[in-house]
Amino acid sequence: MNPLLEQFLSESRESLQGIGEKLMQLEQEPESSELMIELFRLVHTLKGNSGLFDLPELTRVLHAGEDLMDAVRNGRVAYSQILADRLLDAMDFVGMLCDEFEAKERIDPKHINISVSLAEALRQLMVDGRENTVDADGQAPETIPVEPAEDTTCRLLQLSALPEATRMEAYRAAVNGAPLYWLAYRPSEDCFFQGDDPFYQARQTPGILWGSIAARKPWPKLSELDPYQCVLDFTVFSTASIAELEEYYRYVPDQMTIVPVSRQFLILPQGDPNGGPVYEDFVTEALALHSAGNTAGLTRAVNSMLELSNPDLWLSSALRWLLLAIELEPDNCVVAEKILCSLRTLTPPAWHENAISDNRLASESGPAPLSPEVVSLIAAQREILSLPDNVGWITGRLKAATASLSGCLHAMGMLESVASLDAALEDALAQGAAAPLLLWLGCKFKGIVETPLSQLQQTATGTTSPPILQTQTSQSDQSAITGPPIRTDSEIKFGRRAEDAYAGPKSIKVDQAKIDRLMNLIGEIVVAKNGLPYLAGRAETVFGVRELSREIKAQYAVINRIAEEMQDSIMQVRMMPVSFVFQRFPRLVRDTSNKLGKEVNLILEGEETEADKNVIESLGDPLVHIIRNSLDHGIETPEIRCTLGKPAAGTIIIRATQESDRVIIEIRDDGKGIDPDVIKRKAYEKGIIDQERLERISDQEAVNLVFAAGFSTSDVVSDLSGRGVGMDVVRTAVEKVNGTLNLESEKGKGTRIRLSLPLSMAVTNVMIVESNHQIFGIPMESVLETVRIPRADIRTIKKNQATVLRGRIVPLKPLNALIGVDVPPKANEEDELAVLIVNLGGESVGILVDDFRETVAIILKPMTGILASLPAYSGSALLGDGSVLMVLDIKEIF
Amino acid sequence: MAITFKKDRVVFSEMVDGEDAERLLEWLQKHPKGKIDLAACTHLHPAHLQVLLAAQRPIFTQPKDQLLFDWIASTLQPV
Repeated sequence: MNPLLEQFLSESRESLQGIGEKLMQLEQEPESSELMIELFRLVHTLKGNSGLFDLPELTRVLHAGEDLMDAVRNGRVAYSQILADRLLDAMDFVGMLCDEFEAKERIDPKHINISVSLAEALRQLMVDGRENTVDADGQAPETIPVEPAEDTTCRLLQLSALPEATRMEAYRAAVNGAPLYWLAYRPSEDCFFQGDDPFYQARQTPGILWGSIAARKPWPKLSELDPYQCVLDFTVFSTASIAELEEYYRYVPDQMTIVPVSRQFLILPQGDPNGGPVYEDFVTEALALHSAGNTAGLTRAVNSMLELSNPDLWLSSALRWLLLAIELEPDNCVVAEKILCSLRTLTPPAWHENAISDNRLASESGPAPLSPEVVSLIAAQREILSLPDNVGWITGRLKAATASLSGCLHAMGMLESVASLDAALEDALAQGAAAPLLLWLGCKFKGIVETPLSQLQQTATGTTSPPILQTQTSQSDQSAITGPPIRTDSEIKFGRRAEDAYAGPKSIKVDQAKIDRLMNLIGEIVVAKNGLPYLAGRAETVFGVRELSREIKAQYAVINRIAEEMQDSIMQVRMMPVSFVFQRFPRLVRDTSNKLGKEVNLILEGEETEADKNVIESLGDPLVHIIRNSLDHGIETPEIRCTLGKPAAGTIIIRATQESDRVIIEIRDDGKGIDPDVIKRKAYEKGIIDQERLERISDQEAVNLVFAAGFSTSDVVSDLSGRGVGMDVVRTAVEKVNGTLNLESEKGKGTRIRLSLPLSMAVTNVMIVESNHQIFGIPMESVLETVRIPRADIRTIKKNQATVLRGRIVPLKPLNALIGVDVPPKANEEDELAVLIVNLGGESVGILVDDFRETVAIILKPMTGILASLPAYSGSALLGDGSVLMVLDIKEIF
Repeated sequence: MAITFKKDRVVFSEMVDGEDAERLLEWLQKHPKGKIDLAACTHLHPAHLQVLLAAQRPIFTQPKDQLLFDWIASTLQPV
């Protein structure tokens, strides 16, 4: 799991906890605007963070919560118990999603409906608050994107817009068990500004068979058109399952209407009526064949009729459908019969009337009067069937509803309808959707099904109505007028309640100052434990107790081990991966290269390499400068690159690796490199080097001149570079954390910059040297070697001493002279001088000292107060015997 | 470039994102007889699409991409 996500999850839990607490406090003092603002801020932050991830369900709920809190904050909506309950519910849901996301790294699309209904419930409060009235009609909630397939809905769909071939294909698929859905996608007007491409979205719909585009309103004059206000609606016909479709459109469930389509509605013959219905003979003959069960004969008759007719005729279209129906569903006599009968009038088969001929209920005389109990029962079944299909227990639900309906039919003596009900059930089970049953209900009990259940319940007083499942919003609206509220949240179960076992957070947030303090204390332990060997030495030499000395040493070994482990673990706490800095580069490279019209591939390697927080943080600015330089000066434009035979897109590689106790960051590009001649000339022009240096400077040295302050090859200052501060900033920042910098460049091939940084700045290794009876520390990273050179080998060139070491001239400087002590360095018995060879900006320099001592790991404290102005020292440290070691800053003393 | 504005026609090619919709609108207003060439287009952003629809200008060259053609055939008229 990526660190950003981890952080998000841990922060979300904290925020959720905070929101819960604030809500509880608000119950005590509902008027406190301070608490309210705090609460808004928490929800707002959480929502903002969630937007970084692919969590639309979560964002949707939080967004609604944020809007609501905003309304409350501004006094548009009053705080209430219901508000707190719903908000807590929403936050429980968010917490549940976080848990699920952490466990599986994805969120099951089945939560969409809960998410939408929760968001809706929150927004409802805002609407109620604004109008200050309660919607008494029990307004239908928009919680379920799938609408029940009422006959009217299916008729209203423009199925005739689909080409016949597509409809036949869909019909074939549906007979083989595929579901059919009609999707109406109405993107929000400002969707382009959110980077959406609804057309692309619609085109990529899973299982798409057909789609069309329509404008919402007549087009205005071109001069008044706003191209970025979306006024297009999309319609898609798909054979994908509802779960797939919901998952696909999970970002925009509020803009979708998904209607299941029964396959019969696809049978819509089209064409030229050719003078009207004149096929009575054929119809009679075909019906006779059909009722006799002579499928072969019927097929023959239809085929010969087709051959005789113009394929564009309405008749031919109907016959083609008939053939298809006979082929696919030879047992379904109703469909064939319907198609044949339609030839008498040349009007499409009226599937929305009663699909099955044995239904007398829906004939012209209208529905027979039903008792209120039955009406209420049927309405309840319809509500149940209208619930979303994408649940595991759909089969059980369908069977239960059918059993209830079957009971009703028996009670009413409508036994002849039972068969059609069973057929509808079979269809429904095959499709895994309630649509066929709803269709059957729509056909059988027209009128009842359109009456809202809440009204029915009021008319059917005194009846023992079965337990009714309702969606949350409608129920709570109702409860507002009917008295004591039924617990509104009882239906929303997402397995998470306040009393559930609380999983403690895995991470804690700690103020950096506390860690620093811990670090200092551990540093002191390290120093204090270093006192033990001295003590052991004294026990032996001064007091002559050898036994005690050995015991102290043994104890020291134990303390040493523990101290080192402690130090190590506190370092671990402060460690951060370099990805923290790296993650901003892809965007930087993309934006900058677009601006410059260059093509660049950025490759990041070793992002998981870790280093101390301070080191990582100090890396940010230098790296930005280096990469900008590479982009601006290094990588050529695609045209130039092509003429040079390089790939059009340049490559920048940023690689982090760990080498013993240092982190190496390498930035490499394959651009044009640095031309040493240009650098030399520019440096000379700007007065950075003099004539003499210009003549003898090596190419490598010249290239490194880019790090000099005030250097710039560009004559024009652009917004990217040219001010001559960039590389100087890089050098300063890197040196500040004891890092080193190395630049290699080959003209025409590219440039490589290597930053070497310490893993941690807490512990510094220094070498102790002695001079004039004082000890000094010299940082190990600048020490190259220690040698003893006979006095005879030291030459004096114009007052400056030098020696030849392995064929190279090394200038020598006495340390005493460097720090202003007028004492010559001491030699040992063999008349040799101790020389510490140090690296000074890439050159070797020898420092003459009196003697070398050991190297120690110290906690370097920077000089403070009045001492801070002494540039010769980088800091001080306490040694084990309690003495103070001054650590020299090599660069400053020369 | 996914959209190329020429003297007498505007040529759409491959995937066209929504960036130049305002320019397209201006161009169509300035060139009342300008032709629309969708031959090489595989997808166009709805912002462009609605500009083309609003302009009610016949499409000079229909897209070769059959899927795109099917989508827009019902709404954009050929020459």
